[in-house]
Amino acid sequence: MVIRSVIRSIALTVVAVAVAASPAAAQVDFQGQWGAVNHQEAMGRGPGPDLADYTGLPINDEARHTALSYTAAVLGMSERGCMFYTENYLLFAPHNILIERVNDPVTGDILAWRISAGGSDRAPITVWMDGRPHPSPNAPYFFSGFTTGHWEGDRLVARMTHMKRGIMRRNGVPLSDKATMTLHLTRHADILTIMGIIDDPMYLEEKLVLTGSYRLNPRGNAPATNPTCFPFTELPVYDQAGAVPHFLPGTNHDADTFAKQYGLTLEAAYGGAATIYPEFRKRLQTTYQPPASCTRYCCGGGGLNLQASGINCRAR
Amino acid sequence: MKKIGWLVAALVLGIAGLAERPRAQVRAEAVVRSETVNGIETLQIRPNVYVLMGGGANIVAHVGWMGVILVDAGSADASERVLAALQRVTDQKIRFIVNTTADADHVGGNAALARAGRTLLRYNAPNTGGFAGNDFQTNRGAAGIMAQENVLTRMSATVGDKPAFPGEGWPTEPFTGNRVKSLYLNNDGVQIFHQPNAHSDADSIVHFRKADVISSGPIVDLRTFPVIDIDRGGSIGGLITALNNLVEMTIPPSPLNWHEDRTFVVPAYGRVMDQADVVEYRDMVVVIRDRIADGVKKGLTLEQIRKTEPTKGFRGQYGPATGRWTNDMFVTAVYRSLTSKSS
Repeated sequence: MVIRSVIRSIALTVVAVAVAASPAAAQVDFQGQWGAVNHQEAMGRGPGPDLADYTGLPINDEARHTALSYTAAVLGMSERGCMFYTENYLLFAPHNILIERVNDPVTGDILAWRISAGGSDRAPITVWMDGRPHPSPNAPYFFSGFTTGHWEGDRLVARMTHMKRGIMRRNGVPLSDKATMTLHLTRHADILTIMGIIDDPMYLEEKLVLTGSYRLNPRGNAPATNPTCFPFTELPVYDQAGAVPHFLPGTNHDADTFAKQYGLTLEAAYGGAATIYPEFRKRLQTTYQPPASCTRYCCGGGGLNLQASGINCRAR
Repeated sequence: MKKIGWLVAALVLGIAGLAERPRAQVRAEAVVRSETVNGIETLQIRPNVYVLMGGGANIVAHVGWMGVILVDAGSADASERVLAALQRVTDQKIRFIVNTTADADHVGGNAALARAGRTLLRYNAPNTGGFAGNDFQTNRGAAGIMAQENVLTRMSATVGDKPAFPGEGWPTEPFTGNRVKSLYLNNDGVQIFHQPNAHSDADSIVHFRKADVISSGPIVDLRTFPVIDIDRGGSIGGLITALNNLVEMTIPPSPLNWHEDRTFVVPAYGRVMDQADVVEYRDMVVVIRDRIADGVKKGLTLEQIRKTEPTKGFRGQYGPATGRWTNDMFVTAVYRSLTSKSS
């Protein structure tokens, strides 16, 4: 009886310690390799968006004007050859990610979560969980931004400040360095959803909300860091300091290509807060004339081969 | 026997409690430390380099065995607060000041900060014996001040019946020509690059080579479009050349782009930058210059060019409608620069 009593006490105590020792705040483990599920916005994530397709973005006229002056030739500048995308790229990139838990070496508490860029052109994000304050607004900004997180139930909510100037879409829609981003990480078994809410007082009429999905992949091999990059000038014409390619106002020859392709008005193609709500769609329905036939991406973009699956994707 | 069970439980919980104790000690420090006292924010960006913000233009303080080397001195009315902020960082004396331009918010604090410091030369006050050098060399015992010659010209120019700035704040070590001025101070190589006809005709970029910190001087102002003082020798062409030079002098984190190693650039106003930030700023200025130049080429007047909104896309952040340097003033300056006979 005595031995049984002691064993029972030890067992109860061990259970009590185990319960007490687990961090009350951390409900979900995000560690692991997560494969990107890219069927959402596959075109944008894969081959890239159409030029001058700003649909779904609540951008203002300043952003639109900047986007229309953008040319991807800037990527040929040696200064920009190795420049990362800003961290909001997490929400429209095609890459897999690795999430690591950074532990306090003594207590084992969660110090931070690190969301790698999967070897892509985005810096890893560190989400600090130890209550440290955000740096001064006058401190340097890094492409990783500065992010702190907290739990809201089973959801990890992370707020990023100190974001550099970058893009909201890969066709040149700008993001200012006044932008901030809130990430919501939610795990449902083997599926991870990352929702980002971007607030940019310079270029957005209202907040931009984007989501991406990932599936746990035990065989994934996304690295924790990025590959090396050695900058060089890809186009000789830009191999001189201060040669900055851009379109002067009114000279972007692709300003209406996307709109014409899909029979849209420029108002619809050029985005804006009013265009992202159902009321605008209702208004379009009275005037919208779909193209007579599909001439482009009829079988899907991003390498999808719907035709091979037997769907006659050219028919309309 | 029940007591034995509770004893065991208490022992296990006690050990668990001990194991939790170090938790409070694991807070890591922020990358850059900062504190704000009396409106002066002091940012530590390297182990021995600080940026003082809020007392006029940004001031860089480089601390070492010789004392404190300052790049710029802020406004005259902020000197006491700047000194108080410096004293919270080090008890070393100010030994040398380098000015990046002649504007009052860069040089106004020269006199008070130099006087609070100590010359690099051995100095004995007059009539106390020993070597004194002459007063100009030793700045009467105060810290020396170095700047491109045009800074001295501007500061000593008469306004009404007296000089623009009191003599004790004038540069004691002016330099001329377009060759780089190189010094070794505080175990660091310090290089001063004159940028002719940029913001004005008196601008310099200052580079601490070991610390890898650059003070851009007035060619970068993150509050507004860059100020181009046409009447004092500034030009859009010279400004873009200066920005190009700044881009070439800064080192990005390549090839390990995810790493935080990089050159820091301290602008005249605003946050600490790196090469990517300077590139964005430079590219913005080039794009606007090209738009205005296109209007000039088409024969448009200044008023007609204004109506084309050449700063659109950037003016929300850099082109205030009112204040010291507005959107219209910038467009006008670029237009004047592009259409002047010397351009």
